[in-house]
Amino acid sequence: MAAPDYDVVIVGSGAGGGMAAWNLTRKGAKVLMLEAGAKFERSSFWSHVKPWEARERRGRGERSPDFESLPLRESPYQTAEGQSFLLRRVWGVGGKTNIWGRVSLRYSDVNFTEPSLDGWEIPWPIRYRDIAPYYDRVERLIGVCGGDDDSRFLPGSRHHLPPPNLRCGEVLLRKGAEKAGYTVVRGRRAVLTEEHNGRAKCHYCGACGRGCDIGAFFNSPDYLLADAFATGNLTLTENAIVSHVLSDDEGKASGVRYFERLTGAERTVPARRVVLAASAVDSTRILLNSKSTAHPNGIGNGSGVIGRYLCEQFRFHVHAFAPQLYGRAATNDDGISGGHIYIPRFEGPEARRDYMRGFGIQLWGIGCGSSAGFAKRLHGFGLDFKNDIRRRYPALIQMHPYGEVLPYRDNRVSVDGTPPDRFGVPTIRIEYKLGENERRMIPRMYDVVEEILHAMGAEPLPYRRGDLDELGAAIHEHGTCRMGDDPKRSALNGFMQMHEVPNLFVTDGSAFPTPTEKNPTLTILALAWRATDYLAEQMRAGSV
Amino acid sequence: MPLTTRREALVTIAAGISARSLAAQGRYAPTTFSEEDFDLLGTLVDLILPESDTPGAREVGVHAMLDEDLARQGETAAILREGMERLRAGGFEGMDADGRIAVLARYSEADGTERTFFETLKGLTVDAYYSTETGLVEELGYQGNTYLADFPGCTHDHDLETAG
Repeated sequence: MAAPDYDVVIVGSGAGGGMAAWNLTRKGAKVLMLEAGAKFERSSFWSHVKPWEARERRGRGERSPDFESLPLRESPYQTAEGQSFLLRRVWGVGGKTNIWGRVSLRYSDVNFTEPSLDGWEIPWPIRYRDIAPYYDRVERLIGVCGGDDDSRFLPGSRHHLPPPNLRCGEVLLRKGAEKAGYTVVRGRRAVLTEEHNGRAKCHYCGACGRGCDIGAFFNSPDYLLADAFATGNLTLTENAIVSHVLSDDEGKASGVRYFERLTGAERTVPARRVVLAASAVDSTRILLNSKSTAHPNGIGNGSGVIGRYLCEQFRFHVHAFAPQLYGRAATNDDGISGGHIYIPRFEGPEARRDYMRGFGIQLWGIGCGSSAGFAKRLHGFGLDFKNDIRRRYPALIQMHPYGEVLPYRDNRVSVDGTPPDRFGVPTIRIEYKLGENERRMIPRMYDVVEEILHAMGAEPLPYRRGDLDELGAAIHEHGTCRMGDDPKRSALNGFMQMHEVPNLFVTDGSAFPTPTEKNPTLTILALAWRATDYLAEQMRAGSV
Repeated sequence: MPLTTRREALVTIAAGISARSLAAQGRYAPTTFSEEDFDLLGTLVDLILPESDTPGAREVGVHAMLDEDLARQGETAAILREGMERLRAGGFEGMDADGRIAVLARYSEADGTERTFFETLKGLTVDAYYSTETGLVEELGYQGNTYLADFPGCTHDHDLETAG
């Protein structure tokens, strides 16, 4: 292989890859970024296409950006028989940050220390004090709105932008939850409620899930890659599906192999250092497929932990109505789309209970929405039915508890014996099921939801206690390339550097040893910043 | 109403005229359902969401929207087709409004295929009707997906305090 043209090759352009590129290029490193998909053009987003206009447009053959089907076509996945796992991926510049939920919750020392206290699997190699300065920096960079609350379960921040006002249903939900004894805080969301670092503020159109036409919430292309390009140090190759990290005789990473999606051509780029951030499952696939004499189980996988301990949150959804709002005039409840309030976890490892870890409750979909799907679950039909829908429409509330799933060795991503993709590279198979600990947590989650509904006098739509959303639906996959202090039980150290391959870093969600009850993107950004600070230091010292 | 003039045709094309508006004018030609089924479907969606102080589901063309949407959803279309066949066999079309409502009410409480048919019909009708400007804006008062300088939040606050 020829000598490398770049100091670092980064695989993936979402939160983990984007942050690595942003931080390394501003420090002067020459970076090549490989992205499996193409750029999503902001001008093509349907942010301001109303539901009835969307139908007319589709009728004319127009299409909104297709964020999610490419990886399913190029790299379909299998699940174990009798199991299901919803794996949602976005291949394209910026990855899932184009359409993410924007929930930005700091992890706490309860999250970081709990595995050491309850003894389930390995501890995190970092503590809150290690990551806190990076949370500060990330929040200042991207802009996160939120309140001034600060607790042991949800550490506070001095950098929040003003939180948005509450919708009527949220006012009532907060009152009810507080009456039931639960703390309700302002949501923390990476949405600009005021102009920030020269970026336009949100105009409250509520269409974040279709991509923001003005970039008023954090996304990697606008907030990270634009700056990285401006340094002149970033080269981006789109439509490059990375299949392998190559290694030399000593086992160090020496390059990356990829396939050009449009031509099918196989390419190899030499690399001095590689940062992998292709999303948890896709990075894991690359690592497991990167077998060599030095790395017979996949690169950096002498411990055998890569691919194992897949974990994320499980969740369910309860819909109800606040009778105080029956028959009220409809209001514009779009806000910043999604919840303006949040119920953080409230029980630590000291609590007397029959399960480990815990859950928080997210509260989105409250008030007047752009559809009336709830009506399908109301009784009846006809004139009374129609009038009842109108009466209830402003009164809709929803509760969405997210519970932590323990890392289990047998919950895993594997590539052995799977069908190859069109380039001949094995695809992925997912085995994933909940365990006894989760089954014990579920009744407690339902109890809390019911206490709050009761305290606010809400009328729920019919639900069955114990029902859960499809596994995988939280889209927060973790654990399959976890970090830790013990190289026998983890693949990465606390700086996301491979124990066995010092010039290979993995900066996406796969590095998290536990999923916690929280959404990960803010923490991925903070850890990727910290990891690439460390990488840059090592490069200066000549040790990587 | 046939397109009679070139001008009218151009206006129609420029407006990107939809299945809904054609259906509203009685000019929609169904492709998923037979003419006979399409006509019955119009009756059924209107029984689910009838005219009140706002138009009903047939008037806004929900049956045409379903005809379009189900073109690529064969299984769902089959559920509707079979259900309509069953209704017809039971003399549904010869019944007056009360009779029809009684049949649908029985379906809504039934088990098995009749219930499945009813829930499918109801779900599709709800989704389609409340995605139209009539359903969302006129009927429900939806004001969203617009540009606001600031988000006011709950404007019923005072009332809520007394109601709460």
